[in-house]
Amino acid sequence: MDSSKQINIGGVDTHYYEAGRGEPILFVYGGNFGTSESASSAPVWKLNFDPLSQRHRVIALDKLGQGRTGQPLRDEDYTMAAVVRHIADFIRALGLPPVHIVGHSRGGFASTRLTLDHPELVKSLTLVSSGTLSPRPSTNEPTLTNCPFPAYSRESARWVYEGYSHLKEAVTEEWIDGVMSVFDNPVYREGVRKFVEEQCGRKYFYPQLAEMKRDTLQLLADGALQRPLQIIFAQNDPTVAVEGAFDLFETVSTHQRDVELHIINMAGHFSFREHPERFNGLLDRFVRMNSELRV
Amino acid sequence: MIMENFEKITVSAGSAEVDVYVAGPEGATCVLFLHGGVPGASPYASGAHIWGDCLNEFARERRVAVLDLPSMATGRWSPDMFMAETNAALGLAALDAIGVRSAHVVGHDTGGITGMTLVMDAPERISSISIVASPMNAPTGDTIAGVSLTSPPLPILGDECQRWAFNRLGYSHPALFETIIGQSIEAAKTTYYKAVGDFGGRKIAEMAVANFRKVQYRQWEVARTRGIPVPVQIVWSANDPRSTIEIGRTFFGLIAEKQQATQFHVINRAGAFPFLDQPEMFTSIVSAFLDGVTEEKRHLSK
Repeated sequence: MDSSKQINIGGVDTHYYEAGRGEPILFVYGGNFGTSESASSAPVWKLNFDPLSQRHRVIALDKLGQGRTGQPLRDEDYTMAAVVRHIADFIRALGLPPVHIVGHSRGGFASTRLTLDHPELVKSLTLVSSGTLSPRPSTNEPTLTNCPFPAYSRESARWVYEGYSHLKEAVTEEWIDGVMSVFDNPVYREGVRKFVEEQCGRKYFYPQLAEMKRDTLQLLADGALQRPLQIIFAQNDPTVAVEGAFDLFETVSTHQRDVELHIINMAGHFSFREHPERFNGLLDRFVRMNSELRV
Repeated sequence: MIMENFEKITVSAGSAEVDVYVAGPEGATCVLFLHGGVPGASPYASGAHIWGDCLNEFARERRVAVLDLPSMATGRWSPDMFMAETNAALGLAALDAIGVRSAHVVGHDTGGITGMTLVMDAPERISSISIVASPMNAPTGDTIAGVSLTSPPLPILGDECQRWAFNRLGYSHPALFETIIGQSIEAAKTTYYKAVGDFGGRKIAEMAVANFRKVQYRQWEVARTRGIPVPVQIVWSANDPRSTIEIGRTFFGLIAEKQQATQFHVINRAGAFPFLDQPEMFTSIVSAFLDGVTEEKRHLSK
């Protein structure tokens, strides 16, 4: 991934990466506002972004309030709803044709919601290890709370991502370098302060997410998803029960033919980094299969 | 009987002979397709034709070899040819005949049993195995799945029996399978299936099932001890009347214990023949795995 580009989305300086030509694939990573022991950003997709750019147009954005993208302009926008709006506005601002959206974890929830709310922007949906969308309880809190290392440190980032992963060696120095560059960004640190100290998380993010999740699962159960879906979960995810993938498959497949379920073995929460070649194979073929879809 | 642009060759192993259909660019990654069926018991006549049009898709990028029914061209014939070990030997003979050192195996139904025999006996020749809708490979315990084929119209493999079987086993309406059903009706007239009848269909079926069961047990022993030695993907259907998603998932869990490169896939709105119900999705999923394990191997060898 070369250097990021910038675009103003509703007054928020938004960073993204772009490469290749062909069918547009938009990567949406996980995590949320205000974490000081780990920090997601677009380069987490590097092992997928670079190889897939040989065949497709790949775009990875930093979500609202994460990575190098700016913070919400209002306290009330420290919500998942604002994140989804930001992604939709980003797609429109770039003038992208309908995208193959790939969402991981919390980004998987945002991508699903985007597909439900704005189907005209989406050609297919790939949902990766999303405990946020899963109806099953996630275990990331018991797995990852009380980090023994100081906030904003390499050690804390490594501890968190190794805790998420099945293959610890997948947590490379390059990955941690990316986390540290986010930690070093004062805008990001201000977001953490807003989320934690000013309690934007407690007041806005978590209550709105709960309401939105209930609503989203109901929409899925009602058959509202209108785009091809592939669900990719991992067999050994310490934080997301693999059973949730089967629940989601059952829910959507009741209404929709073009749904696939894939489980990758010996992988934790970051299957796309732990087994990038096989993950890329699935994504490449899925995109190619659905490239002719007119939406 | 089968696809245009496929060359037909005949290979032998011991006293058994089989027709093999070959297509695709020479030198490309090879995929060996193994059909299923239990001779004397299955209510439809399987064969190379069962894969339908997806073979043409695979042959665009890969060298494809598809085992068909034993040809019996020379009249050499014995009950051994129903056994998984014989079919596995025929698979290796097919690879030898087309000058291929190693191949990815895709086995449907009891073709998965033949495939696992190949994997366990000749792992150096097999790059990966894809087991497709194969209840015979999977543990079923005291499941109630599998009772859906207990009372077929007689005679077994008669035209009516075969239409009945496709109607029950497929997810799609059988009108969509007319070509395949017609080819299965033709296959039932071959000397192979006639010979099954001559030997006494039920007796052959019992012998074959006992043999497949041995392979199944051996497969589980290998899976829980040293591990299946090549990458495995299990492709299951959401609507197979002979098996449930949970059975496929349990099978996946057993293999996944020791084989790192294991994946499980479920295809929606598909029955016992996912490659007929959802050919595009099936081709995409299998191809993705072949792409992935090939790239992974290349990466790891650096």
